[in-house]
Amino acid sequence: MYQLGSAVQKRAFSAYQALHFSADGREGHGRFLIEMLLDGLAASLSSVAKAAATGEPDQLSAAVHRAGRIVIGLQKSLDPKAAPQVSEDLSRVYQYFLFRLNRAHRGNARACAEELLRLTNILRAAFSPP
Amino acid sequence: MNTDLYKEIIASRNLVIGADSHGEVVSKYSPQEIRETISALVAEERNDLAHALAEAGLALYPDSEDVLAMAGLMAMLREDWVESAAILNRLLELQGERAPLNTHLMFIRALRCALEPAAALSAVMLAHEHYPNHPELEREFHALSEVLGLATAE
Repeated sequence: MYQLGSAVQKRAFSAYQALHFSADGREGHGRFLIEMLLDGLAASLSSVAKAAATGEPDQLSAAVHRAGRIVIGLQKSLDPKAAPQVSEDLSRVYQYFLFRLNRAHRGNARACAEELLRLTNILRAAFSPP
Repeated sequence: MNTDLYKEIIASRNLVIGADSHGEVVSKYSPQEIRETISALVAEERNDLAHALAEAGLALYPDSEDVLAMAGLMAMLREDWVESAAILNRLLELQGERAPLNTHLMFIRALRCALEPAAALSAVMLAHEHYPNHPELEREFHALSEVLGLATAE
């Protein structure tokens, strides 16, 4: 499992959050966007877990695809010029999400969704104001 | 409103739009705020992010008219006609009798572009019940009748 949540990483996320404020021109717009995307990702992953538990393949497929599209949006929101190291780290995290979501189609979707939901909640906490 | 006519088409494309997160995830952002942010992103030509946010909106608020209308538009922008038809079908179900003409027209065009002219014609006829003799609907009716090889009185 990808390890997140150390104090150092949290400081890095806070730095990236602060960069969003200044780099975007409009105060808070960038952070709001990331928070909205992470909230939506959490909801999608929750749907993946539910569909896997109830055995609904169409719902499962729809929720996995939706989660994937949101993760791609999160990747596109990264600004390597503003924060190269944090962008690279987050990009790796998002790549891991996509890798695991791809695996969710092949079985054990519930465990995969629960793992990614835990990671998403760490990211949500890091991006939310204290 | 009877939208059952389209459900078979939507189901045949194996498309599910409203993956229900059953209230486990709560966002501090409202559907209106999400809609406004999507609009701002489209205005900035950041369509990839707008698309991702529309997906996030659908995940959080699958029954929000604000989110469905914006997600339907986003699907049309990227010419994903089947998804657009599925989203607008859901929107029409929710809006029922009070569905504005624009929602009907968008739905008809999505079905037409998804190469479902028979379903599009059915959608025109349903819209006609609420907006009789509207010129836009008349135009759609004649165009679709021609595509389907049906004779229409001018």
